[in-house]
Amino acid sequence: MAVEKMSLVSVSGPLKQVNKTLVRCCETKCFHLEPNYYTLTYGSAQFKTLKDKDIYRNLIKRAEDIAQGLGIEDKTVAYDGITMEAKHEFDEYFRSIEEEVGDLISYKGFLDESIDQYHQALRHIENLSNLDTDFKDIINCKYVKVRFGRMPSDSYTKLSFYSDKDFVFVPLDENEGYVWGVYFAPVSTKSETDDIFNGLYFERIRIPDYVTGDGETALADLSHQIAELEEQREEVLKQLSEVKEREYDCFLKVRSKLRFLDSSYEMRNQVSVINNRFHMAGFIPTRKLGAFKEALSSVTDIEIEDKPYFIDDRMKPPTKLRNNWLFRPFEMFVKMYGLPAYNGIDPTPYVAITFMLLYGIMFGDLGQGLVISLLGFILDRWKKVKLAPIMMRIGISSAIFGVLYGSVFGNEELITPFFHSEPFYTLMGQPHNIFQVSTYLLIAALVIGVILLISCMILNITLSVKRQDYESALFGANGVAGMVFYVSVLVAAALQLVLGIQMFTPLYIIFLIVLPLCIMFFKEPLAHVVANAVRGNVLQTQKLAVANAAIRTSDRLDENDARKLRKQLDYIQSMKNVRAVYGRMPSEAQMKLGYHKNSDYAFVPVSEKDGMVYGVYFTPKSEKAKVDEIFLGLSFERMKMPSELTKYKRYKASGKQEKTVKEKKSVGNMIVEGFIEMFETCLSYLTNTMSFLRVGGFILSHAGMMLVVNVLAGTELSAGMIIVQIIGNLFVIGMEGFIVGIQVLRLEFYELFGRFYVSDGKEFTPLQVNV
Amino acid sequence: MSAGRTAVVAKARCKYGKMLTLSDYRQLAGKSDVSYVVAALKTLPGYKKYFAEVNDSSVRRNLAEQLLYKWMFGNYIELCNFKFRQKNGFFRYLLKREEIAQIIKAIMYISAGEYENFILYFPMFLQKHSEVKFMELVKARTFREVLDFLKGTPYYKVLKPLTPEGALFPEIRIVETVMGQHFHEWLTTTIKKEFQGKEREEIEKCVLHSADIYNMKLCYRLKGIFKMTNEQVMDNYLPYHYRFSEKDMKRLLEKSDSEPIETLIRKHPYFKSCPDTEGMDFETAVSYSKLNFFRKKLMLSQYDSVVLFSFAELMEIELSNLTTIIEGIRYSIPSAEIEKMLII
Repeated sequence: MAVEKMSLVSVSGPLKQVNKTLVRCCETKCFHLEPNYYTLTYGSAQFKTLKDKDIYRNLIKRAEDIAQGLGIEDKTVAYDGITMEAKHEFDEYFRSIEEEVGDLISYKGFLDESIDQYHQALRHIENLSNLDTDFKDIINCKYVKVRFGRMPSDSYTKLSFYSDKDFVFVPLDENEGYVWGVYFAPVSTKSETDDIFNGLYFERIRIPDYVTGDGETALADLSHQIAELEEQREEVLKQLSEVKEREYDCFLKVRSKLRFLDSSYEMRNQVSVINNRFHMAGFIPTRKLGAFKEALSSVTDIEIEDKPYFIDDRMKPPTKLRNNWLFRPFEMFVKMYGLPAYNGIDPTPYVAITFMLLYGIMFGDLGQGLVISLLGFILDRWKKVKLAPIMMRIGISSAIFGVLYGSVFGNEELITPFFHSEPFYTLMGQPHNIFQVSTYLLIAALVIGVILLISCMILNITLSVKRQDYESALFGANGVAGMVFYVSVLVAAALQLVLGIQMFTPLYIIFLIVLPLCIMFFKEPLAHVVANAVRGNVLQTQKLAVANAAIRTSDRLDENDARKLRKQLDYIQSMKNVRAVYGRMPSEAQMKLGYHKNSDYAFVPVSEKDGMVYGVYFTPKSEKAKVDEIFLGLSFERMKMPSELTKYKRYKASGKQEKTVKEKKSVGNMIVEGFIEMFETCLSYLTNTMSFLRVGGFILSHAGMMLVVNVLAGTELSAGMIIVQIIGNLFVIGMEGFIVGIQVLRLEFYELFGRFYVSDGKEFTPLQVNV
Repeated sequence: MSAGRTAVVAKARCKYGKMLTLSDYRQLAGKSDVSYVVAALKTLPGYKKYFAEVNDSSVRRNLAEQLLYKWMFGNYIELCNFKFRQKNGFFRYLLKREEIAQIIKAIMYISAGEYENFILYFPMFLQKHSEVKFMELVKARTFREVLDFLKGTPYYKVLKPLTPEGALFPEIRIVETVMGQHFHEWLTTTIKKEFQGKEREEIEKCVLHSADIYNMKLCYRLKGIFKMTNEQVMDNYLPYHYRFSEKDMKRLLEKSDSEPIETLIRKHPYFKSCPDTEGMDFETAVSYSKLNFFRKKLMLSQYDSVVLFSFAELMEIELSNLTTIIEGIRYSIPSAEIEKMLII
């Protein structure tokens, strides 16, 4: 019930293995590639991306031609059992089919084309049926070339421009934007005329040579010829169908695999390449690391290295929610609102519980709840609708509350409702139906709302402390101050109204109502004070850390060097915008640092291991690019800063904060804004609490709607009554069930999520191909 | 709101709903041949009507592009039909713009002696809606003859001052500038005459946005590509502005002597909403800016003039996307690469 733990994995190997590796990565469906990892680390000048031509395009075209020839539909299937991967293997497979049926396919293509042309010619000749001249006489003209065909009507208009040319165009028919006709040109100007008509999009239609006689005779001849061609085509299809039957399954699998390989090939442009080796890095769920390595073990000469996700702070790990079967469908709502950060909290269980609870309370009916569940089951089983599993769960919740309310398809006499059992019956004044307990229902709804709102405030305080956002945790409307104010007002009001205890004493008002309000009003200056205190603390810790680091290295430095280093560090620390980068570099490279001693940086080695020196370099922001280049040239590899050194980073953050504080608004502005915010906050406590009244309102609305259905249906058992009951229930399920769903979602997103949830996560999108 | 106005707004938005989506573009870009693209277009609701009768096995790129052009104008004219009483006013603007473009093309082809090529590529359906007799115009052999054929049209007055002394034809760049200015002058005058209040304000913004984009392109092309002087660029600009004033333009041109002009133009607020894609060329970035601006206008405006103008601009972007796909397929560019070039 949390966010899936991730590991940062880098895969590298010879360039020739890149396709195979990508294919395997896609097959694992758990590798979230970070295409910019290497270019971010080493710069785009060092690493190149692959941009080459698609090598599978021709094979795919051949597969499409074969499929068209054999009449195999465009379908993608699972390609289990297909071992071919290399280009030549596919080539061989397609060649074997082409050798067997290639001629037949070509012949079929020829027949198709001929039949099509003959049909068109037939259509053409139909327009010439009044022609009393023998076609043979026209076609066989010795000194005049004749072309039958059609051209777009627009082109026909343009013919007037060529009135001085040696040709005649005879329009025969015009329909659907085309002019059908024939043009005559002397043999000597044949090429020029053909070019003109070609430019005018003239589509030539060949009249078969044997078509003789006038229009009527030609029509009959052509029809006969088409019949003969179709007969031949049938024969060819019969022969092809045998091959199709034999190869169908295999061909579909091969083509699917080929498409998969083609799509995975396109992913090559996300891989970084240097010195004929490819490198890629990305995130994998830690629990799937073993399976991933196992899947890639079939690719030789590649290296897989896994590191903790935090090793590189520039790579933000993606978020993959992981919940049990009960809560999992509700992840949809969380994704809809926005995913939490990788280190954040997954609110799915909270959403799932509150959603089921609120839905059940608002739409409690045993019969209708079970119908919703059944509908959800059907939609999930056959249509795979995403909302269906949620329907199954909320349906059951609705059924459970239906038992409590004693409602079965609106009938409240089959089951004894909870308010008819002791001690509720006596406490509630012996009510007969649910409408008589409406006041209690509304109060209960408010109590539920209050509990949920307070739970959200507690969550917000916890998460804000975790984020070190003290303003939100201590002084915000959903922080400690806000919660004290809200709870105090509610407790005092409730005790005074229910038990008549006077709670609003001056002390109570001053300390538990006015003080929290003042804290909320002055939250900005207060937050500033806290931030300064924390920052001072951080600065002290940082000085200590730097001193420690310097002392640790002092055994390798003489007194003078150590003094110089400390001086340098002090100088850098005194600067407002300093940048600290942690990483490692080869020991020999550290020696070369002396060549750049005039540059504005300081390198503090922290430890040394396996010929690598680990340490931090500091640089003013203005010198960032220059210094980064120096360290890049020395093969410095950036890494996530160890926790004991992260104070350096905070230094940067606090520097930024200081700048923001300086840009702050005037006191007047702060007071006006604070007052408006206070007003809005107080109003929101009231409105958000009242908003939960709808929970009780919908219970009554449901009972009311079913009462109407029952009145319309009547009490006498008849076909009419059954029909009205069915339609009425379906209407209530469709309309009210839907509205309640929307209302609950609104409560979740608006009243609850807004108080504690920060959605700044990145979705886990495993590498996969769409075929 | 009149019935005609409501109809235009509703119909334009309905037509926009039929325009291509990312998945449609992907499907088209994945085809291996232009004929397959045409076959696919035949099945799409917005294009069916224009491609139904085409023989997709023998269709050529030119014809496909002409049909797409016809699709754009066909849709526009369909919408204009609702405004039957204003056939000669603002609602003619797209036709007027195309008429001007064709006159410029005609002068260019005639001056190069390529008369037949003009005829071959001329969208004949435009003739129906134009007062210029293009089939006659192309018979001209000198600029004076061109002017003779244009007598009686507003273009005669515009082009007459350009009659060259010695040469047969004026420089085509000057013709383009003069005609562009004439078009914008006509457009702004017509808007002032036909619209009032908020509608006028809104439609003027659309037109001036287009003028800004034109001027930005001009700066990029003339200064960035053809390395012309700042004065030469200023000689050709359109004197209409919305958020890219003459002062901004002069300042930008001055700065561009030391910094690349493309970088400078891209800092303009028009490009704020452009996706930060590496290697996106300037023209694509401009189209993105247009797409975002006019999509909002189409969705939110209640004025038919604004909606129609925006719809025409969006159709033009779709047309350009389809042309990119067709060209990409012709040059065997992988579908993923084609997708990157699309303005979606």
